[in-house]
Amino acid sequence: MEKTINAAAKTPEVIANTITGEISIIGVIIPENPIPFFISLNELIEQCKTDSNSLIINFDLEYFNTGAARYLYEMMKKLKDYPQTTINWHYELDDEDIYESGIEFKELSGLSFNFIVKDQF
Amino acid sequence: MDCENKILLKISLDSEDDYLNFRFVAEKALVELDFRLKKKLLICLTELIQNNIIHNQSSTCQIEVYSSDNQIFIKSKQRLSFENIKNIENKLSLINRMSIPDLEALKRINIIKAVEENRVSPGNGLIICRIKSENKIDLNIINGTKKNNSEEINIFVKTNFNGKDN
Repeated sequence: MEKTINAAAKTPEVIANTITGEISIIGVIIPENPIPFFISLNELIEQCKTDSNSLIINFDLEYFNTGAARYLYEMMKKLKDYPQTTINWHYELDDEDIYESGIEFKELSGLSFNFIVKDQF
Repeated sequence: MDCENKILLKISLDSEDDYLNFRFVAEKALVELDFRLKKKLLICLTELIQNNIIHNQSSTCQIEVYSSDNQIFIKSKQRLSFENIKNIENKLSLINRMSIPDLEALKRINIIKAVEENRVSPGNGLIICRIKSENKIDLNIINGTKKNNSEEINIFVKTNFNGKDN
């Protein structure tokens, strides 16, 4: 079953397939108060964990603020207890900021990341 | 000196709509810049504006991005309480002395601590500006702007075209 969180000016689009357990997070995360967005995102994650026996999270981010970084780390830290998690970190080839952020989250969370260069076309 | 500046973006943020639309206005204004530089500027701008939203949204925040002498500057003018200004001055005094690797380490510690202590903000906004610009951040208090317990300040973030310090 597909569930979505619509993109807004400061929050990304989220598309989740609760059957396959695949969640894609696409866009920017720059709200002053990140809590409401991450509550919704965590609910989707929990639903995917319940309905599927694996979790695939595709991060396709443009940029995010320091408040969002704190909540992304917290979210990933919790996923450490769910070994069926796959993290795909998408980035553009010349986007060193997003690539380095992915490295940082990988090291902070201890999760395994797949780094995927986005199609340039 | 001012006449040599090329203004890339100049905007006053007064309303909630201004803050909501800022990202789109900034992305459009900076579209001609190198992708990597534009991204760093957008990240810094986001943090500087949010400082104003969190501490004093009722007051206008003026943002300028301009190029001068092969460098790009961000100037963020905000009205803040004396206490907030003192906090920022203390923070800048610390982070302007730190190396980029040390700032990266501090940023990580702040993220971990914010989660452990259940705080919303890790307090990394100015640290991010310092890391992304690779330059020291300047602050000046604008004379004659004292009102109640607040004062206007300019925060300057300088980044070179190649992202390297002079």
